[in-house]
Amino acid sequence: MTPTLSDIEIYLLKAQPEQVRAWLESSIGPVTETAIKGNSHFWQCESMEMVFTVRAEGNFDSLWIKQNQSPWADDLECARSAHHVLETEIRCAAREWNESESGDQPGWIKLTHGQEKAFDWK
Amino acid sequence: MSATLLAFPMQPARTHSGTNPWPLLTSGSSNSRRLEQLEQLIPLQNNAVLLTLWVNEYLDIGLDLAAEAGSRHLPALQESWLRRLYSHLRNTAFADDCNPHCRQLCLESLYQPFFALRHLYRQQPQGRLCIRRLSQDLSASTRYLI
Repeated sequence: MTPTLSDIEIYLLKAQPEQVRAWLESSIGPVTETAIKGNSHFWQCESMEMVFTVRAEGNFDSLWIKQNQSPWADDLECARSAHHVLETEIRCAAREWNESESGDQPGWIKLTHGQEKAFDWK
Repeated sequence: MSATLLAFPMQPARTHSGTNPWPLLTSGSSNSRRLEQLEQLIPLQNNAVLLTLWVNEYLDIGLDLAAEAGSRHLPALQESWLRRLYSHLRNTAFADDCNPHCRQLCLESLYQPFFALRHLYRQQPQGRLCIRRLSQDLSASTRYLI
């Protein structure tokens, strides 16, 4: 059994905050917006703090679930759900970085048009 | 947060000659000034014992400055100090005129700011992206480790 990650982080291609909130609400529960600072929307869902940052990296927005008590065990599970519902490209880290890992291995997974591909995000 | 967009912390005005290699710390000097002094001295030092001492001192001071910024809830400044340590060690190691011992020492020391940065990024949005890019850089840099 895969251990649940303590936090979750995914990247979404040109997603709208309202759409992302709606997806989170349908998947987890009611989401309250607690603040907006710059491009970042701060959300609360049950005891989970979330930060959605518009255009965090190029055309990609980022979603960070700070304390993961979601139904998703890791980034990829969350990314799959987001991709299925939002129908946009989603990117996530393939795994947590560890010391023995070679920098040559693709560190990211992109979910696009229903397919998952490993790639290097540079 | 994109680390590459951050500038290094502001340097205090120098009151000593930039070419003076004498490493003594005067009583009125701040940690940041000593850090700057060590940055100038380390690449010039050929004595292995002194070099090791200075690199260790450089890391201690830099990590202390970063920790102080962290305790004041200034994560951007904290990141900036750590980035400064990391970049200086890496750039020193890859300078054409760097001697082999200095190169090895600097590359071996890269892990200290790296781990501190990784810890910091784990507490920030877009942390995975920052960690991944930093780890790629570290991996590329340490390939040159003898």
